[in-house]
Amino acid sequence: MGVTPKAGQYDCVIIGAGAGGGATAWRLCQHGLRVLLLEAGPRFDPDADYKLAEPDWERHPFPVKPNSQGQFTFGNMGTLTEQHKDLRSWSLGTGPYSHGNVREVAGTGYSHVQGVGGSTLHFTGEAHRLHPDAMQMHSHFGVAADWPLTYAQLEPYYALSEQQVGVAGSNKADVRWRSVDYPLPAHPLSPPAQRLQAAGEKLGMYWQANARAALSEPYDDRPACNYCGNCNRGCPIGDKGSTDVTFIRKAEATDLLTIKTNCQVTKLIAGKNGKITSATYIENGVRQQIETPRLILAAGAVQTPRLLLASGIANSSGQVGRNFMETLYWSSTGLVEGLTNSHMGLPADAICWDHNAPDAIDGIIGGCRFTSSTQEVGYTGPIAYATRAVEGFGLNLKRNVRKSFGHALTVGAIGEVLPNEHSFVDLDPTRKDATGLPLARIHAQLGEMEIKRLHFMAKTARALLEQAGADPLVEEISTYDQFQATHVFGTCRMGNNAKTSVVDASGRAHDHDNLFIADASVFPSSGGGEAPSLTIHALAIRAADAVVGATLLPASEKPKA
Amino acid sequence: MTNLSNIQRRQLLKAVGAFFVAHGAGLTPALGSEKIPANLEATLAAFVDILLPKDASSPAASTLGVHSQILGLAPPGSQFEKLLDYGCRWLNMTGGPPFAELPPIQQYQIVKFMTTAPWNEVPRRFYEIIRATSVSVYYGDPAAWNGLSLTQPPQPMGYPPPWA
Repeated sequence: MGVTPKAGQYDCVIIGAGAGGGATAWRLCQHGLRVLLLEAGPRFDPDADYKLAEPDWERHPFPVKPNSQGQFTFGNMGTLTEQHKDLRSWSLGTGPYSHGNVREVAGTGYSHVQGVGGSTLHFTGEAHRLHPDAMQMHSHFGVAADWPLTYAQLEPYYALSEQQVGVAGSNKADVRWRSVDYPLPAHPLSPPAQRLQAAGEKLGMYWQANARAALSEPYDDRPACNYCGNCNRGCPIGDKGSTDVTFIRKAEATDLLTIKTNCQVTKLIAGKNGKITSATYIENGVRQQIETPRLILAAGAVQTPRLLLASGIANSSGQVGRNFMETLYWSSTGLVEGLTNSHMGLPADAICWDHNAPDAIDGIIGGCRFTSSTQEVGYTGPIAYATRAVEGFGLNLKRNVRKSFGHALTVGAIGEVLPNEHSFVDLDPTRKDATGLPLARIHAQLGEMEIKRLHFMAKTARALLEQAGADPLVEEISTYDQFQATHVFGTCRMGNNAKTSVVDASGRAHDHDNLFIADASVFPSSGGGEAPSLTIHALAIRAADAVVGATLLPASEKPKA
Repeated sequence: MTNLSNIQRRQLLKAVGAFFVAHGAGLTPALGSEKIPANLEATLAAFVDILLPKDASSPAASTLGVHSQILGLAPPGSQFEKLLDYGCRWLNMTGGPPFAELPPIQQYQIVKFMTTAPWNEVPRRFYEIIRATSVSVYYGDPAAWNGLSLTQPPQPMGYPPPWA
């Protein structure tokens, strides 16, 4: 320590270069502010880091580089019971995924990327708006908390985000009304999506083209998607709308943005007047301190509360870290004779929203959605088939890999998670990172509604596969027994009441008027399975407008035809 | 040096570590004995060739160096090296010729037995972990793709429609 803060150099400091930080940076630069963006992780080089052109491409998931993974631990993740054994994960190739009665952490548990672009670098790229009713869960259904803003207030920011990212979607009118059309037409449906659409029709389920942050035609100096089916391994050609090639690229072009990578922020310091006066961070092993006339925190729903708790700020409500909401997930995969080339096309290209509204499922509060997920769960190469979809060994193994390749059909489902007292993020009492900062500790247990919703998701997915002619089922993946969260929310919830929320409707901290939070930690409810990145972008841009006092007016719903 | 990604290497080490946590100290004394040789390279080569034998379309696993790449994942003193050692010693506990010198039909029967052995015992865990690792290494080699509707990596060409 002992480094003099650099006075007057930046108008705003942003922590985190992901979906929220990147969008905020772009908007603030548009407003003419000088912005410093501190990112704990590295930059990724699509040409060097993404291996989809290599012969052994399938052995390379999204790359891990120094500092590209945050550190955290896990507390109580819940127990498993015999009653719900039908919800456990398994595959034909490996057998059951879990072998005890404690919910396991699968892989890293919290699946994320630290880096310029954040978790959008490895995301599939669904671009969803929230169901308007999902923003009023407390008023309408007595659960979770209401959003302190309406869909109409957020709508102009959704439209702006879609334009900047380049979202391809269907303009068919639905409850998520739109003030402008999508900038790009919807993608053609891949072979597995077509099969699911046909199966859904027979079951009275409506499947449609999913809204995707992937270009269906050249746009904004980026090429169209070539349908390689592997968005999650990193997009080497730049059609996927990850934040590095969209918001951050444009912000850097203004010359008003400075990005410092591999710089972990270690403390936020508040002055006597309640403003956050500075932040300390580590750069090349040396502790630095920077003035923060305006500070945007966008480190995600695990690392944002960690920093606030470790700094002892923004928590007069006691809600920082509370209300953690994970990803409720189910997928079923089967082999379909007659389906070919299911590894080709855009992952998650078709979706069914029929059960997404909070009251769409009888007896269950909180909805879900179903997606064509064959490519998304990794059935894009022979290793996936050989390890997961085919059992045994020897000539039979090889024969069955050949016989089954390209025939996998997967229904994925994501559902609402209601906050509960057992799901939260706190500071690990003993484990610290190399800088001395306590690690975040994730506690996550599924509630009664989540278990019921999972049963519904499983039953529906299996029915769809049966209708599609899948035989046999070869794999089911469930967050009942495998905690694996890509979408995480809620740990710094927004609200109008400073006693029960951390930030207001603009993302401004109740306790510190120059501190904003621009990530999914502000979500008061998770939504019925919607992917959060577009909502994060919209909220982040709205927060940036609030920083300068220029919030857009709410859009008006178009009169129905 | 084998080409498994960092993430896959971590998953492998996690699986191996989980076995040793579950198994504790109760391994068969004979497996720790020097009297039964491991002959790692020869035994592993024969084992992976039972898992992934040569057929009309594609070579045996050892031809593609699968066993060597697996050995490359097991530095001296590592838990994975220990599991490989235990597994290969178990395979050689035939009372006769070592596993690599047995007739293929006998090798096949031994491996088949391993697939239903108790989960927390060496034969089963060795089988499961080596099977998963072998198919990953094997099918990561384009020489193994004959007969699949996959002729090149996903990029740079992608798979533009039509997809029929």
